[in-house]
Amino acid sequence: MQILYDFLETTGFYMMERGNAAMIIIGIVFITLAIMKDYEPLLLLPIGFGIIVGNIPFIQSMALSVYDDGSQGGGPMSVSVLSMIYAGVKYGLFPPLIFLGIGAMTDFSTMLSNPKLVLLGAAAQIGVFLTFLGALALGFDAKQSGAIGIIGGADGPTAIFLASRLAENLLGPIAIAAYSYMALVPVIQPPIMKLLTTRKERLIRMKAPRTVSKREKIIFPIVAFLICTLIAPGALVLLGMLFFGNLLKESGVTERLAQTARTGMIDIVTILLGFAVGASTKAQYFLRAESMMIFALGAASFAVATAGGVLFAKLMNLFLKEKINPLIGAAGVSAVPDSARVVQMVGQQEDPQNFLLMHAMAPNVAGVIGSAVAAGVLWSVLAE
Amino acid sequence: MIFAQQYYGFQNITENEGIGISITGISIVFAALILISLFIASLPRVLALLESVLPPEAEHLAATAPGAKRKDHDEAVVAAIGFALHARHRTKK
Repeated sequence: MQILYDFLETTGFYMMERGNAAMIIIGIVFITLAIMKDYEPLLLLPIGFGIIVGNIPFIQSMALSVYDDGSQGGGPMSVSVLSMIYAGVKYGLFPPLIFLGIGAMTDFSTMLSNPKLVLLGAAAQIGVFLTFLGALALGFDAKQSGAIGIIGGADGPTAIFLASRLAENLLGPIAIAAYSYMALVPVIQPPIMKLLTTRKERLIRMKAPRTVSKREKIIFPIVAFLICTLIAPGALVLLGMLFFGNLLKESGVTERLAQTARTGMIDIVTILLGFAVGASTKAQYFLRAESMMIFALGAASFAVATAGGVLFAKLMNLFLKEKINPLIGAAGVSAVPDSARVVQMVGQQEDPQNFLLMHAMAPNVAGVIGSAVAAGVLWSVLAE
Repeated sequence: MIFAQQYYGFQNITENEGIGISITGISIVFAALILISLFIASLPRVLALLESVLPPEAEHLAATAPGAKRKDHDEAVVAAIGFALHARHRTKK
């Protein structure tokens, strides 16, 4: 009978704390949002299930958590399987692999056909640096503030990469905030876009982009990589993989590799990354006042980044003969392709015949480059 | 505890050179993307100047994608065989 009592004391039911129960509910909410509302299901579903897995309580002598990586001693049996998967997050392996896949599926044609739209991708990065200041004002140190600020880049892999380099102890909340807000782009952006533009501006139609030659598409990733990484070497890993993936796609001679990078490989890495990030949200590490501050700063950074892009597009219109629809400035946050889709949706609410998606993809992919450069700059400046 | 320092607000921003880092950071991001924008804008002109030196694009692509050419060729062979068989059946009748 004593053995049965001893066993019951090791069950999750016995050891469950309120924090674990709350996190499990959050995990279920994520899964529900993914299935019922179709909010970034490829991310929210693995993260949601990971949250549930990471919050099942167990006795300390069992190595099960992502944090049981053998660093406390205890030999091979103290290393959990989940910690091995989490190593891809902790050591920044998964984000560059995701960038390789993104590069292999990205068509830079619209950006190449209208180079001035690249600037909108830079303008939206104002969210990163204002959030950096906000985090400092709330009492975080410089490295932590840099890692929090990059949430404003609206790029999950970049946020994880920089957090793993600068503030590993905040990796869980930063990753969850970045991916949650990416999923909430259709909710966060439209009110800001409408608030900052007039109906007349939202009705602006843009000229169809010119046809881009194959040669331009092949040369672009090589030269753009050189420009960005010679300016900000910290962006080397992310942008190296992004442009390498794009060259695989555009060269026309490595279609098999490009196909693998944009399908099987990115899917596998997304599954492992989402699940591992979710599993790292153990209540005892995650439910802290700092996490709530990070979530608040993340929401503010998305709003500021969106506003920055829209306002910069309006500023550009003061000098341009051919006006651009300022809504596409909101796509400067690099949540690809969701923010471009949001631009299309908001534009069509005013004029169903206005197709902005193609134009919005230009600042959208420029935003990916911009946020990686911003991460590189923060890493270079803040790393000891 | 995450917070290892006692400063908050503007004092923490100035202690960590926050404003300088932010201005430098956004300037570098703009510089990188402006350079990319200028490069993209000049690329068609540069390629036009080099047109006489570079091999024709269509030939280059055909050379790098032999599979596509072979596919067209195979289709023509299949069509020819089909036509020959059809003609033979007609003559037998």
